Amino acid sequence: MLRQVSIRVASAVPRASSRIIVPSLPHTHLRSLHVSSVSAAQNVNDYRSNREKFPEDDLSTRLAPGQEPGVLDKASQSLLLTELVRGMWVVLESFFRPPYTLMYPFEKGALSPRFRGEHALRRYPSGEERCIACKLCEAICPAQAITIEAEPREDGSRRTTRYDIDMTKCIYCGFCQEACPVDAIVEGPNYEYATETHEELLYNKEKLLANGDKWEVELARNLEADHLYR
Amino acid sequence: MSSLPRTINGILKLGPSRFMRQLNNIGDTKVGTLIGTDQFGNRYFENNDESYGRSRWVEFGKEDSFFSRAEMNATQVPAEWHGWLHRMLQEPPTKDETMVVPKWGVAYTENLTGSPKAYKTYNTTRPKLQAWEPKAAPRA
Repeated sequence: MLRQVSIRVASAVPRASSRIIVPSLPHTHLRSLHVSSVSAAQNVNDYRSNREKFPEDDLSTRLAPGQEPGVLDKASQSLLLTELVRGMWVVLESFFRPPYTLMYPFEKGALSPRFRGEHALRRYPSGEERCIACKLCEAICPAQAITIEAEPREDGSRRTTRYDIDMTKCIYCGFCQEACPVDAIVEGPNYEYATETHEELLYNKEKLLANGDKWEVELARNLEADHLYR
Repeated sequence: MSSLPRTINGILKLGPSRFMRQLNNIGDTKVGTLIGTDQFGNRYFENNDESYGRSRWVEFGKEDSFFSRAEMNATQVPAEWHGWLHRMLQEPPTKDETMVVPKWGVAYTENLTGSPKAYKTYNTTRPKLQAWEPKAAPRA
């Protein structure tokens, strides 16, 4: 549709005055041009393949190589507002198309299993917490948002006593979950954890474990979906 | 995309009550198959004839009404249905046998910020400094 209009607009330009020199070119010259453009058109992503299909789009097919468009060419383009008309036609087409608007709380956008949202500390299927306080996540965190303190537990295993993440410092790069050797700290699929106060975003260990317990159904699925790439 | 035939079809298929609620919420009449209902009464629908990205939607159990505003909340979708609604998972949890809910899992809660139950940060370690209790000898 758009193409037809542009052709029509272009044909409204007095063609005789626009200098069509191509037919008068020497034949050998034309053939060499043609061959080179065909070989270039093998690549589909090349803009020259489009030039091959729609020669009326390109002034260079009407003008000899090196020749600038004439005064009448430029004046007719600007006086007849061809660019405006073509632009308005695009607007008119979009006007009759269904919108892509998502009505958010009812319809939600697609997410990847790798989405990096709110953090969570996971547990083993037995219920034992995974984190062994190796502090790799704390070391790699570029924003230094993680603070860990560790002590031996009563049974002698090394566990964290403090696992704090300042969610307002975090830049959600995902380095912590990549550094974790036991898949304890993960960034879950939840992004709807906005709060009214700052201190609600200073997560401690209990909050992170509670997040893990709440989201484990989906965290396990997302890790499973990605396990071939890890 | 809302149009006159679509809206008339919506009235006939949805009934007046759901029709008015959908106009109030989604701003459109969407007819779909009921996929399931979660523990909060949210109902999940799917219609693959809708335009891309709008094929799955939820009708919340808590609706805004004339008497109570802002009960409906985007975070009321529980973790089981979250992946299906966000189109991470093909199958809904009602059909998906591989979805395992751990025994130690806790009940899902919505985002409680602004309510008395909101999370407030606290210290999880024992204090590093012990206060000194002076023992003053009685004066003569």
